[in-house]
Parts: sequence; structure tokens; C-alpha cells
Amino acid sequence: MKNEDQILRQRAIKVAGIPKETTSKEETLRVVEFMLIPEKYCIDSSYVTEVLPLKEITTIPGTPQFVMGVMNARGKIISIVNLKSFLNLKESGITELNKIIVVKHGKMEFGIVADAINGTHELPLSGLSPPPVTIHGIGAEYIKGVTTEGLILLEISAILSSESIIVNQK
Amino acid sequence: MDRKQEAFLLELISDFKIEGAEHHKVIINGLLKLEKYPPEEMMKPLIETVFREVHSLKGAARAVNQTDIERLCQTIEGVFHLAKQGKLTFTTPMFDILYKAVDILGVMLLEVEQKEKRIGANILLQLMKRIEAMQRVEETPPEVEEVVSSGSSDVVQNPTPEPVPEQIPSPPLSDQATNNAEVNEITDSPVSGDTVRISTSKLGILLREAEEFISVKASLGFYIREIQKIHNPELVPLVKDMDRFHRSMSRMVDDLLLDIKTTLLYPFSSLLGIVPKIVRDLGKSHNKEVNLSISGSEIEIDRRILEEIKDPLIHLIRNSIDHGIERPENRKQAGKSPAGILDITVRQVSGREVELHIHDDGAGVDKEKVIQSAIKTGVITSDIASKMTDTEVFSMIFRSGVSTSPFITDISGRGLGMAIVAEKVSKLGGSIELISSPDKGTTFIITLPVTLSTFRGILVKVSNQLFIIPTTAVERAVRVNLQQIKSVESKYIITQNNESFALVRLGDVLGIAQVKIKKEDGGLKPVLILTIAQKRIAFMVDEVIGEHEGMVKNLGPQLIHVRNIAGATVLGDGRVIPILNIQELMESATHISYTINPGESGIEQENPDTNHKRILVAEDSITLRSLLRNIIESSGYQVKTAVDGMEAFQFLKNESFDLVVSDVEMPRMNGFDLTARIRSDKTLEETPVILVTALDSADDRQRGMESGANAYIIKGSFEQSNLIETIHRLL
Repeated sequence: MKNEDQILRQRAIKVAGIPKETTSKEETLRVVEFMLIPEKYCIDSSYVTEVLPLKEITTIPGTPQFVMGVMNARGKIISIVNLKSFLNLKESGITELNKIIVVKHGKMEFGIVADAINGTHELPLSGLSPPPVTIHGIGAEYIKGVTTEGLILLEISAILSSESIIVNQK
Repeated sequence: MDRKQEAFLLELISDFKIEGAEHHKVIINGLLKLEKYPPEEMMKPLIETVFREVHSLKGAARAVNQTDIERLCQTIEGVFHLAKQGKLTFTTPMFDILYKAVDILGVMLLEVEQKEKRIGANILLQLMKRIEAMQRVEETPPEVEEVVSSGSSDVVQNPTPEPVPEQIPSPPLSDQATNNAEVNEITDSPVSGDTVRISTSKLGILLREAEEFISVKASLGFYIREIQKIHNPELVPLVKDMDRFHRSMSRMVDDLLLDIKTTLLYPFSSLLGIVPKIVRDLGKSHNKEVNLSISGSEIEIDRRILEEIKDPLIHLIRNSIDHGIERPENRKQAGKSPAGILDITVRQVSGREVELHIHDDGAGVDKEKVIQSAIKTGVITSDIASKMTDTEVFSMIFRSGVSTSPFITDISGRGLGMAIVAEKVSKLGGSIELISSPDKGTTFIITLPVTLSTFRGILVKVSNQLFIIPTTAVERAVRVNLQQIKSVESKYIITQNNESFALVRLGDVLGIAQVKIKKEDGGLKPVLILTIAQKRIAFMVDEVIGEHEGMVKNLGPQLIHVRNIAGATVLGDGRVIPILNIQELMESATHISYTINPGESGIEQENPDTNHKRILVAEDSITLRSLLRNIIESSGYQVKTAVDGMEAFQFLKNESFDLVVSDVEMPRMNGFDLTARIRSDKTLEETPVILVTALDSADDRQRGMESGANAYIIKGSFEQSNLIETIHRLL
């Protein structure tokens, strides 16, 4: 038992590293980066609860275009939103959209569909520039900024608390 | 037999103890608040509450033959009855007596099962005398009340001379209760027996978790059936064991669920408590005198049903007072007493069903008015009306738009209320009926299940999508020959057993693309006749798959309300299936109109060019698969999908297809290999292949062509029209 502990400790010391310097005291945001081909997007990771593969989707007739349908996440039903059409982004061809990022804020929770998940990282906020003129329409208010590499930071909390994402056809 | 009865009695008594403790607590808290002499507008509801609680406790005591408790409650009730009418003003000494009485009640409640009672008949009698004396207080000069102001005295001088018997054994509460300075709220129940208080939200969680087992049960059943399809002798004993295990597990799950449901039962009294005030207020505003009587309020039912039945009950009470009970002058003319009778009775019909009767001795439902209203709104024709029985006529009350009231008042007369009542009741799995005779009055009988049952529905397929229709809404399922469908103006009509129904396609109502049917189907299409609030419409579907039992789930916080959809349920294999909202579906269906070409009798229009062409789509991404399917189907082709090249090839070997649309990157067998396999197979080599891919290099294009594909579409520049055009060109 003690032996095991020792081994583990040694191993821990071995693999432990000093966390990467995040360009000194700069303010950063931990984000989840994903692909909506051809663009790269990221969102504040604190709103992300999980990432799931999209295996089966049930379309719900009568819902707006941006609602792709619902899926079963371990017995719970989660609605799936296509940000491309919610944000009025230009559709370019067809893509596989087979990953789901589940986002949650307060009571609101849904999945957003993505072509691929690129992982999480710290995003320095100072390097952001305002959304380019090319991204306009309804979507612009949900875009916090764009990095020099063209990575688009979405204001996921605004999307989550947006009235227009709610479907209530009373 | 005797033992059984004894056990039953014991169970009743222990239930009474719990209920009694609840009432006791509310009474004490009420007294405490009253003793602070709140302003009159707060005083009244407090008095009302205490009165009602004492009354309920009295009723409950009577039901289990606890005569002493019943009698004590009766006297206390008398005091509050006077106070309610404003004929009695509380004073501190009165509170002292009342506290004593309530303390004694507490002791009596603790001792209900014991043979040796601490409260003797003598003590009780003296106490009751003193309480009764309080009720004569109005006759005593008012000054006397003011004389007694040193409230904390245990010995009460007024209004009765008898001292409080000192030998009353005091439960722990007693000392505090008489000294109101120390008492605020009493939260502990005086019953210390074997009960535990659990918040209903916790019970709700337990129920939800137990209900989850239903889908586990269903999934297990599904997998067992799947395994049974594999014919392997080694599996046979295993499958048998699993099946046995599944059956015993099912039984356990059912038992668990039933037991949890019984913990959610709640007496009707919690609902009926609001009725007296509603009746009084309504009576006043309509200038009608109403004598209300309520019985059976101790009967228990699932609290969720209680919550849901509240609005329908209030509506029926309003209806009785508004339409039923006549004004006093009219009643006198009819030889009735000026005050109308409104009687609400709850009856336990069986272990699983409860009846709620709402009876008034008013004018009864005017049959003629119902018939006229029904003819006016087009529900029936006068021809049919003449042949209808009373029951049939009265049942039309529950249809939308039928009303007997010539005036639209703020509370009833729109003819909508009854339809909503009927719908709500049927949603809960219950039923409603109406008995009425002229001048004798009207009785509504609502039959309700004691517990909310799990949801049962019929699984149907429309345009390759599955939906569930609640079984309660399905009157019958039939197969209809397309030749039997008639068209009237812009509607289709079918006739079944001499009855005609409007016919719509479910897919049209839901706004989803229809798959055209083939002539080879023999022209027989499944049709479900759905009914709600006496309205009936026939819905044509592509396929009736079977029945499903499961839980209703909502669509999540983002999809609060989607028209025509009530929620979703999860099948044994994990698929999510939307549950249709029948009321909205019926409404949507009435707005459907078809353009019918003259001379055409069938509902289906067929496109001879594309109808028989079958296209196989191979694609591993679910989104793309359904997108491609939708695009191709909406152009009138029939589509089958495969999840990869391997599956596609198997389908191609067993069925015939006119064209293949395939992704390139797929597990097991990619699009290039699939194309190559097709080209090297004698029976398949002629089949056109379209490759759809994300790969966009000259090499890949080259490879695609080499493998024998007829067309190569790049996902990045994909356009719907592009694909369809290519398909047209190749076929």
C-alpha cells in the first residue's frame, strides 16, 4: 500500500510541470473551441456541462429552423440548436455536425451542434477585436470578438438567456 | 376474516392519527395567531381556517368511531361557527379554555389506539360544558368580558363558573400553550408515533426515479427480444434465464412504483377546503342562496390529480350556481326551498377509482337549448337530434361551442368551459358524465384514477418519423381503402359503421413531407379515429407500429411549448419519440384544406416518374443522413439509409435500388470501396453511384472516378438542387 503511494507520488512529481505562463498577468478566459465548418468558434467553458457524440436525433415538427431536434442524454431529453442558423451565419455546403456541446445557464439548457471539438484552452481577452463587418445580421450581438487567428468568441451567456432561442408556441 | 377486518380498522386508525395531528397543528397555530388579535380582515380567514380544521377533524373522527373526539370537536366548532358569523368576540379567558380543549384533543389523538385513556368522561363533559357556555356569551353583558383581562390566569372566572379541572393530564404542549408569550409557532406534531415527515418534493424525486425503472424494464425487454432473434442454441438457456429475470424484475418495479404512489396520496379535504368560500362568494354575487354540503373529503388521491382537478371542479361549481340553482323567487314558485342545495361528494368506487359527484337541485339542463345550440354550431343536424337519447344530448355539453346559456357571463356561457373540463379529466385518465332531470337538478359525475398511471400510446410512422398518440384519444384504428375516401368541398370524408369522419393526413397536419404510397400496397392505408371532448377526426398515417408504455417527458427548457406536441417518451432502444398533443392536433386538423381536382376520389396523388425509384443513401453522420434523406424524399423518391458501406452493400444484395448516394469517409467500408464492390458485382454493376465527400483534392476526385462513381459532389459546395439534378440526370 505504502509502496503504491510512493510510486504514485514519484510519478506525480515526474509529470508535474509549472503551468504555462499565460502571457503574464493578462486576463484570460477558459474556452471550449469547436468547428462549425468553415469557421472556428469558442465559448466560455464555465457554461459547458458536457460534450456528447450525436448518434440519434429526433426532429420535432413545427419548430424553427435553428432547432435541429431533441436527443436522449441518459434518459434526459435535450434539445439541439444549430448555431449557424440561429446566428444567421452563411450556410456553406453540408457538414457532418456530429458533436454536441451541452450548455447550461440557470434553468436554460440545450445542446449546440458542432462539426468537431478542438479542445479547451485559455484565451487572452486583450487580443480580441470587435466582430468584423462580414458577420452581421441578428448574430452580431452574440459575438464577443474575434482573435487575430480568426477564432470567434461567442457570448454564450447571451445566447442562453436570449428570448428568441425559446420556443413557446402558445 | 375477523383478523382482516381488525387489521383494516387499525390501518384506518393509524391514518386518522396522522390526519388528526395535521389538523391539530393547524388549529393550534390558528389559535396562536388569533390570540394576537389581528386586524379584522386577517381575523376572518383565521377563524375560517380553524373552523374548517376542527370540522374536518370531527368528520375524520366520526369515520373511525372516535365519538369523544367527534363530540369535543363539535363543541369547539360551535364556538367558531358563532365567531364566523360575528356573533362572538374572543377574549383571553376564552382562549385559555380553547387551548385546554385543544391540548386535551392532542392527548386524545395520541391515545386513540389505547384502551386506557387518560381523559375520563368526566373531564370531557366539564370541558365541553365550559366551551358551550362560551357560546352563550352574547347574552352576557359586554362589561363582563372587559373585567377579565388578566389573561394568564389559569383559573377562568368568566364566562363560566366551573374551574378548569386540575386533574387534566397535560401533554408537553400544555404549559406553553397557556402562556402565549412563550409560544410562537408549533411545528412539531403531537403524534410521536411511527411517522416521518418528508417534503413532497423529495417524494416527487423518489417517484421520478422509480418511474425511470419503467424505461429500464422496457429496454431490457427490448434487448431480450433482440437476442431471441439470434438463433444460436447456446443462447437459448441464457435467454430463458434472462427472460425469467426480466419478469421478476418487472414485478418488482411495478410493486415499487405502486408503493411510492401510495405515499403520494392526499385527502380531498385539501382541495375541497377552498369550496365553501367560492360558493359563498358566487352565491352572493348571483343573489342566490346556496346550502353547501361536502362529504368524503377524507378520501385520498394522488396529489398531482388533486392539483389538476381544481380548475375543472371550480368550473363545475360555478356552472351549478350560475346555470343550475335558480333565484330564490323562482325556487319558491317551483315549490322548492329558497336556498338551493349544492352537494359535493367524494366516493371511493374501488381501490383504483374515485368518483366526485357535484350535485345541485336546480332547474336541470335544458335539453332543447342544448340541441339548438348544437345545431347552431354545426355539431349535429336537427334530423340526428330527434333520434338522440337524453344521455347523448347531455354529452354534447362537453363539446366545444355548445352552451345552454343565452348570455355570455364572465364565468360561463361560452360553451368552452365544459369542453376544457372534459379534456382535463380525460387527460388524467378519468371520465365525466352528466345526469339531469328538469326541475330536479343536475349531477356531474367525475371518475378519476386514484394514482396517475404511466402513459400509454400508439406508435405510428409518418414520413419515416415516429410519433406517439395517447391511447386514451384513439377511438379505433381501421384500414381504409383509398377508393372509399370521398371528397366534399376541400375536405376528405370517410364512412365507418354509418358514421362519417373528416379525414386528414397526419403528416399534413404536422407539416412534414409525405412519402407517397405505392399502388402495390393494395390501396389500404391505416387510419386512426381520434376523439377528444366528443370531437372526432380520422388521421391517416403510413404505419401503425404498436403500443408503447412509458413516461411523459418534456422537451427541455428551450422547447417550452411546441404546437401539436405534448412532450416525448423514450423507447426501449433509447429513441426519443414525440407525443402528440391531441387537442392542438384536432385544432390544427380543422384548418387543413385540400385542393381536390374534380373527378379525383383518392387522397393520394402519385407522381408516376419518381414513385417507384428507390435510392440508397450510405452516410455515417446522423445529421447528414437525415438531411440527404429529406432532400431526396422531398423530390419524390423512396429512400433507404445505411450507416456505412458495409451495411449499404448488404442492403444492395438483398433489395433492389435504382441509385446509390454515398459518403466517402465511413467506418468498416468507405465510399470508394463500396463503389468498387458495386462495379465488380454482376447484378449491381449498372447501378449509378454518386459520391458525396468532404475530400476535395484532385487525387481524391481521380480516385473516385477510378472506383467507378458516376458523380462526385463536394460537401463544401453542396447545394440541394445540385444533388437532385445529378440524380435526375443519372436515372
